[in-house]
Amino acid sequence: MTVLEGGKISGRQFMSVLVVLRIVPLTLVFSLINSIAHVQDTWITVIIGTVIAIPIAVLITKLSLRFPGKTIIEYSQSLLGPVMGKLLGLLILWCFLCTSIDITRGLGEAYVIAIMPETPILVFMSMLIFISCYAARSGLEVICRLGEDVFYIVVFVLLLTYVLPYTAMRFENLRPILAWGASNLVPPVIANLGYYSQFLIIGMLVPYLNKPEDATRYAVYAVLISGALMVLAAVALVAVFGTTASSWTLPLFSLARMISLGDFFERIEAGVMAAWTVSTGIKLALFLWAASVAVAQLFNLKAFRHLLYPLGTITVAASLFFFESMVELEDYLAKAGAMVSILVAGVTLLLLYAALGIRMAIHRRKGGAG
Amino acid sequence: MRVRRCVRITALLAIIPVVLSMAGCWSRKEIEDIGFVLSIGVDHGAKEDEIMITAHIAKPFAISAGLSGAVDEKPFWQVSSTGRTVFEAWRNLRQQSPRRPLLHHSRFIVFGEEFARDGIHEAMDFFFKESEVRETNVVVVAKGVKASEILWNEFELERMPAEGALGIMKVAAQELSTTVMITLNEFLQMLEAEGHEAVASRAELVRRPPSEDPRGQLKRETISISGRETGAAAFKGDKLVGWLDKTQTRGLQWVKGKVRSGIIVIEQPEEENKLASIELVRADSTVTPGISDGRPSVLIKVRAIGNLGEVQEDFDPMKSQEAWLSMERRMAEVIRHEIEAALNIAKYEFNSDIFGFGAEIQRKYPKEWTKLKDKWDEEFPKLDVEIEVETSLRRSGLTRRSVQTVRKEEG
Amino acid sequence: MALGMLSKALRRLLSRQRTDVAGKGQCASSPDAVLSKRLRENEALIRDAFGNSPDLIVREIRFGVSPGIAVLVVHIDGLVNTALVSEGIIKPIGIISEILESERLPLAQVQDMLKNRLILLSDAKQVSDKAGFLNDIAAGKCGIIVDGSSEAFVCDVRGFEKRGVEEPQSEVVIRGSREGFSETLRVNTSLLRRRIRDPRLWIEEFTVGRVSHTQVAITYIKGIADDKVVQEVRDRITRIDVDSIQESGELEEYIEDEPLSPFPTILRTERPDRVAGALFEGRIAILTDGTPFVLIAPATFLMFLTSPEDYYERFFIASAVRLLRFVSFFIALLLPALYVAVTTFHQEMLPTSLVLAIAAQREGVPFPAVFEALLMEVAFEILREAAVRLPKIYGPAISIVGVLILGEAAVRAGLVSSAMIIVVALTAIASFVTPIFSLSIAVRLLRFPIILLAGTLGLFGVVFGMSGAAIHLSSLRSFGVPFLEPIAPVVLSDLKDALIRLPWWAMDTRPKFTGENDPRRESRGLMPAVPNPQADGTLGAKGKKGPR
Repeated sequence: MTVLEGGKISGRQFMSVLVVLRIVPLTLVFSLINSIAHVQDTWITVIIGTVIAIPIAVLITKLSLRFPGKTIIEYSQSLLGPVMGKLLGLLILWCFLCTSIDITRGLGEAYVIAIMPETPILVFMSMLIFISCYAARSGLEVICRLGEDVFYIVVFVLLLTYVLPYTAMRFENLRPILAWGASNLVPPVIANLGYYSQFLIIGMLVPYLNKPEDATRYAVYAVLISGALMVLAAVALVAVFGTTASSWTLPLFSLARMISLGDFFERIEAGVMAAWTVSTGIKLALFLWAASVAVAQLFNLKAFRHLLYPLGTITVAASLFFFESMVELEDYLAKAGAMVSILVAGVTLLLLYAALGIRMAIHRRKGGAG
Repeated sequence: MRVRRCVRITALLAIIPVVLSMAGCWSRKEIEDIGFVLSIGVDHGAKEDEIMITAHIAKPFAISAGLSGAVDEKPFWQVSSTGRTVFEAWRNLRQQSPRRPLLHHSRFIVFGEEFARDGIHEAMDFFFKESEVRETNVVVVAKGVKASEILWNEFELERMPAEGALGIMKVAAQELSTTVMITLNEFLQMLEAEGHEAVASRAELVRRPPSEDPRGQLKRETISISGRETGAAAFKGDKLVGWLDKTQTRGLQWVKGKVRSGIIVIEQPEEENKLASIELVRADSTVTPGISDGRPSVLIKVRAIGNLGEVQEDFDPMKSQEAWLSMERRMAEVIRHEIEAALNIAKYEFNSDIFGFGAEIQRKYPKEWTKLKDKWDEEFPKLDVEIEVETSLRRSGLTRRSVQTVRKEEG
Repeated sequence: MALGMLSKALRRLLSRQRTDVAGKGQCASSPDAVLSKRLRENEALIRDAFGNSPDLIVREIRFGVSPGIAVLVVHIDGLVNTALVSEGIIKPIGIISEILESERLPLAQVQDMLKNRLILLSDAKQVSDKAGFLNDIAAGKCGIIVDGSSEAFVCDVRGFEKRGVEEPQSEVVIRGSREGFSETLRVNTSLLRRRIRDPRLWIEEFTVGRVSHTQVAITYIKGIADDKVVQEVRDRITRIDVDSIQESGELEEYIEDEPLSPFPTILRTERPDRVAGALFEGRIAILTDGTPFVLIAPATFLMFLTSPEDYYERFFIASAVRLLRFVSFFIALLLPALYVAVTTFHQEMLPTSLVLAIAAQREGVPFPAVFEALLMEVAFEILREAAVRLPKIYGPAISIVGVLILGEAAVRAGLVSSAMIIVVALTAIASFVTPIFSLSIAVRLLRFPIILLAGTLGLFGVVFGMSGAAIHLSSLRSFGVPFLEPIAPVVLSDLKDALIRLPWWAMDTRPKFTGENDPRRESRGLMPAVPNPQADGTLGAKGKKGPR
């Protein structure tokens, strides 16, 4: 392994960044609730999605543990051979970049829609990218250290956002349950899994864990915690907004606007937005880091840090031109984007496990013969 | 290496002023250049198909001047403008306002009666899409007048009319339960929900006789929303269909379980023409829908707990347990009457399911509801509604018995 | 003139001295570098080296039978204790000369006599190296050269005017020791020795500065401090090659991890109790002669926000005060920026009545809020600097003019809003809460770019600036210890002494990064418990049985 990145991260930090990267889209565009026809069932679909996501996370982690000290980019080359391996690596890299592009645009849109409509979106996006690149340059250790703190902050802010609008909550809005059949449940589960397939990044993080044997445990914790946060989000949203929950562009932002305690503790949504910005920054830093390390490893470069700002610039430009409008972004996130991510994750895992199986079979036969 | 880093950091620091100089015109708005809209009214414009927006804008300088008592200036300014859509009318407002009007701090969205009767649907979307409007705004319908007129009112205890109206509404909703306070969020949910028609707050003008201004400078007509008269506005679809008076409003609130407090006046047991008042402490309700042979029915259970607040004739509960119990029964009777009043007007006059019975049926029987849904207009007036009221009287204030006066009627 | 000559001579000397430093003070063997055997040559050398400065005292005594052996006693006036010189050197030589009037002694015996019997001083050593001898004289030692020998004696008779141990000026506590470090290194090490009476308190001395020859000492507790970190400190100090070090602040800039950072990564303090506390956590103190400020490394961010008093007060109160200090740190950093962001971008965040009140106050203020804030902050910084520099007699006058008249008049004239005055005043007061000045001044500096960002992009700008600062801070290290520890990375066991302070009996381990060698600092179960009344002789039992 070329020593591109010397940092070591702890299991808790690993878990924290995984949770942060799963709940960032929740904080901006909650596409689960936007893609469901009847919102009352959202929380059930979240549970289903979480249950399916656990084996995915475990599979990725277990695979990485078989190749200690190697990232998914490196071991896919050693498993599939240089050509196929590099192709797969490019696919994964493309996935990382797509994710960066989505969330950059998402945060920019959120600011322009909700807080400062007159400011050009490019300003938000480029400043976000700038700060994320700065974090990524400082290395994985810094990202993960801050990621853990941001995790605590975001969980705290989210729980406040769920609990404080209790005056406006009406839990009868959650009924009826499961009245529309299974077809109602499918789109949000797909959207949810689309986000969970971003957990491919585990393959980049596991080699840097100081105790790799804990990786699986913490990956499962991450899925469970993010699942729990999303269930609560779904419940709170539907309780407050009823059937109108699916109409909001930024559901959790609107939920924060409902907070009003005693005519004094209210109007805090901009502060809530600030917490979300920070978490988006962490996620973006992580993906930019992963993408640049992936580039360095694919093309056998000696360093990755100088790749960050060029990659960041590309991300800003792409996020500006990929999507014409917020409508397109949402549509992509909930449908095409999710399907593509699931496909990529599925193909990656399938290919790698198949190759691993074949190798082991050959190895066993050789061993048996010898 | 070190020098290069130095250069880099200086470059970063140089970015900040560059960004600043670019930022001249973006979202920055100095606080003194903003007209804070406190309530906004929607009416028909003078021309056909035009919408008129009336904004009630605060004048901060007049407020602070008012504090020191130097200037007697109205602390607000009312301005109207028209357009084909609400947004256009809203933006046209800027032709008249030297300060940029901003809706962040608005408290009320008021619809004129005429406008509400014709349907508010076309005006609603703006208030949800616009990020300046908070979903905690209260939706009000002005009875008998235009929204622009109802905004012209003043309160003795508050300089800002919006604050005054909000205060009265809160007090009436919490202490009397004879008004509804519907936020934009709730209003939208009711508009969108199946089997649940919308209600909104009701406001009307009460003209008081002109009074001499104490400072003798000018004579003013004090106009005020009267909290006592505030009831509710009932919608069907997006159209206003009628008004609930305060009894009917409390009937509605009983069913919805939103009665917080209030006074129930009953006839005092064992006395002729004497009354007793009961202060409500706590109340809640459950609505249980049922379906038998395809016929929907609803069971409303109301539990109310009150304290005996006053009696007009001698009364000692220690002497007569029976009278105490009969007071509870009478209290239940009054509550039942209020609910029936609300039910009757909703069923037979408006034919509008403002209680949300349909939504309750949908929650419990989603499959049956798909069949009922389309003919709910015919079904709702025929709906069997059973009312169960359970009341209990807990305390009787600081005294056990009532005030006893020695009367010498016979001389 | 004399100074110029002195420095010229020294420079000539020190061009040789440099190789000397590299060779760690070993004697150079070239004949040029050792003292001459002839006394006159040596005298000329000394007088020449010091440019014949008037404070250089060269006294010749004859030893033994007339004409006797000439002995030269050299020292610098004002740096030595003259009583000690006459009592410990000149007097014994004189007495022995009288006694030995008749004998003629060989040179070797004279030297032996001088060394073992005559010089009645605790610290005397023999040197032959020319430059070393001169440096010792310059440092205030007394040199004795015997005619015919190239070996000289150097004795420590240093005694000069020094400030006593006084109460520290910059870190005031209500409860706790009143003594502070002074300018003299030896006094400072003695203060530490008196607090840690154990041979494991190790002190190593270095001489830094080609010309100034400043004494620098590193101290640590052997067995607790990490040897690798000690070696790192040693390495960083020995690589310094400058002509002078006047204050520990200069030293700090040569040895810190991240030179291009507004934040200090080495703690400086005037308080011996604070240094002793840090030593027990496995940290290393660097004492510099000539300044009362002692450096502590490795330092973490939170150490800058703690005061020694936190450890002496009851822990509930100490924790509350520490949280308060944390809050005021953020107020000092962010309040003006948040005010600007909220009033010019996010008016929706304020309650209606407040927003109208602020709008009314800003009515007629000619500047945008950002500019207003910057103006007031700069004005305040000027006032603060003036107040620090002015003679103490003028202090009250400045505060009256600055605070009362200027502020009041500015509001009256409509130049600034009174809300802004409140914000700036609160910020100023909050910035004085930070116990360590070097951090509070960094915060003052950072405030300005954050105000600019807030005036440009509102809360997004503030978040941007704060994120940048957070990334920078968490990438900092101080001698291998993450600077933001235990917040980033989160170290659960160190949170006991971070934002809050647990009681002493619960803080049973040293910080994770510095105290790994000897993690436990106390035995378990020290939480005081109410004594069992059945047991004899305990306080609880006595209290109950007392009356009988």
